[in-house]
Amino acid sequence: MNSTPIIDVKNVTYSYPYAEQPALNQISLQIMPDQWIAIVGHNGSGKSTLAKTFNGLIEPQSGEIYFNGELLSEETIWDVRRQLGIVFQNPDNQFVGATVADDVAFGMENNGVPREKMLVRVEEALKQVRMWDYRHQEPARLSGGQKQRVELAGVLAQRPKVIILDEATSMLDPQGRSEIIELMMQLREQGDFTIISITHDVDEAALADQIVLIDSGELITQGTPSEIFTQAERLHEHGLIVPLSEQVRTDLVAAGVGLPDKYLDETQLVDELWTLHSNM
Amino acid sequence: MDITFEHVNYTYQPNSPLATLGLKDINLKFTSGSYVAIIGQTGSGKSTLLQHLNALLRPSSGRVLIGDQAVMTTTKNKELHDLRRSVGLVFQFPESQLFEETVLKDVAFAPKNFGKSEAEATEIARDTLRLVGIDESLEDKMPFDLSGGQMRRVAIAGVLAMQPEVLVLDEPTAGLDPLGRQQIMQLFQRIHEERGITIILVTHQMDDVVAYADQAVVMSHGEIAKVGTPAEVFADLDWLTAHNLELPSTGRLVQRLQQKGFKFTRMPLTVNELLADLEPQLKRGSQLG
Repeated sequence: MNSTPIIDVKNVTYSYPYAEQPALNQISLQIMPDQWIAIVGHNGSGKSTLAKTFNGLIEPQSGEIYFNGELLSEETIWDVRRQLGIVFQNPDNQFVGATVADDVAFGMENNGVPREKMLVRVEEALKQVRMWDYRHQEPARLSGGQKQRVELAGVLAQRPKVIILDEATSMLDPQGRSEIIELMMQLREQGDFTIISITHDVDEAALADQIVLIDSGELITQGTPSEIFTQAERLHEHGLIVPLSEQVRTDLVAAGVGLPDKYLDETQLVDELWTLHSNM
Repeated sequence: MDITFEHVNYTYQPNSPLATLGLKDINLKFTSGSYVAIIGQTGSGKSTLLQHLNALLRPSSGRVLIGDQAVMTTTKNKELHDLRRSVGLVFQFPESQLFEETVLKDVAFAPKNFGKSEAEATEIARDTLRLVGIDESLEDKMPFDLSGGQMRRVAIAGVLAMQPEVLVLDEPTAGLDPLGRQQIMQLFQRIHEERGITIILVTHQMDDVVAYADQAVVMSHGEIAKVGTPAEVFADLDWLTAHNLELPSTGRLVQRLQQKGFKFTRMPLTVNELLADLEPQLKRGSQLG
C-alpha cells in the first residue's frame, strides 16, 4: 500500500463569517488511499465543513491541506478538483443538464475531455450506477435515489481518486438510501479510489474501513468500526448511537450471556448467538 | 377535533391524458387526541392523503370531515380559513420556509396573520419558542444563523404558534442526527400529552412508529392496505416485505435469527422485547465453564 496519505490535514482552523465558534479548530487528520472512510458527527459538528476544505471549496484561515503529498494552493487547486468528486446532500440542488446524460457529461466538458472519450465515459458511468436506461430523461422526474445515482455517475465519469459523499443519503427514503449504499459497496470492490462518506447514519459508517469522529470542529477519535462502536458512551456524548447489533450484544453480555468482548456486526452476532443456542 | 375521510378519491390532472389516481376510496377516521402514523413507500399516496388533512387538496369525489366542516370538490377557499388554523402542517425540511428577519418575528407571523395583535402574537411566539426549546438569547437572531436542528425547531414553532388542534408532520426528523431526531420526537410527544393535540405523522422511521404511535395506517398504490396498532401492523414480516415496507430496526436482525433457527412467538418491535424473547433460548455464560 502507498504510504503517502491521499489527504493530509494539518492544523486546520476555519471560522464562518460572524460565527462565535470556529467550525474547524486546529484539526489534523490523515486519510490513506484506497480506503473507505466515514467521517461522523452530529449536525453542526463541522464534518461537512471539513470535507469542503479538501478541495478548496472552503479555504482555511490557518493550517494546510496536502492532496497526495501536494500542498493545496491556488496553483494546484484545479488539478486537485479533477481528482476529487463530491456528491452533496440535496439531490435537487445539483442538476445542470437538461437530460441525465448531459448532466453526467457536464463535469468532463468543463475539464475539456474530448467528445469521443466523453461519450464512452458517460455510458460507462451511467451503466455503473444502473441509470443508462434513463439517459434521455429529465433529471427532475427521477426519484431522490435515482438523482443521487446520476450525481455519482457524474463524479465517476471524471475518474477521480477520491469520492466524497457529503450526507448523500440523508435526504433519501430508505429505498434510495440502500440503493446508494449498495453502489458504494460495489465501487469499493471495483475501483481503486478512496471513498469518504460524511454521515451520521451508523449503519452506513459501519461499512467503512475507518471511522473518524468529529465534534466542535475537532477530531475526537479515529479507528476501525470495532474500535469506535465499542465506545457507546463516547458516541452518545457526541450525539451519535451504536449500531443495533452492538446494543443487543452489550445488553446480552450484561445479562450474563457469554458473547465475545468485541464489536460484532449483525452476521457475526447471529453466528455467535447460534453457537449459544440452547436447543430447548 | 376528528378528521374523517368518506369515500375519498383524488385524481391528479383530471380530464387530461396525464390523469393519475392519487387516492382511491379512502375511508378513515382520525380520532381527536390520537397519535397516528402513516407509512408506505414513496409514491404510495401518503403525501396526497396528508394534503387532504387541511384541505390543501380537495377530494375529486367523496368528502373529508374536518371537525364539523365538510371539504368536497366544490368547497370554496374562503370557507377553509378557520380550518387551516386548527390543522397545522409541518412539511419536510420546514426550515426552508423560514423567511422573517428574526426568529421571533418568524414565529409571530402566523398568529398575526390569523388576527392576533402584535403584542399577543409576540407573546404566543415567545411561549412557543420556549416550548420547542429555543432560548430567549436566540430570538433576535436571523433564522439562517442558527444550526440546522435549531432552524427546524423554529419552523415547527411557527406552526405551533397557530395553536392548532391537529398537528400533521411530514417526515419531521429527515436529515437530523440520531440525538436531534430523538429530541424532536420527544418534543411532539410532550405536546401531544400536555396539550392533547392530535398528531398525524408521515414517516419512514419505523422505530418512531413503534415508540410513539397508537395507530398505524399503511398506504399502498393510493389505497389503505392496513390499519392497526404498530404491533398488529408489524406482526407479519412477509406481508411488510411484500409491500416494500421497511421494518423496525429489530426486524432485520429478527429475520436473520429466524433463518438460523431461533423461534419468536411474536415480532419483537423493540430491543427490550427482542432481548426478552432471545434470552430464554440461550445458554447462560456460567454454563459455558
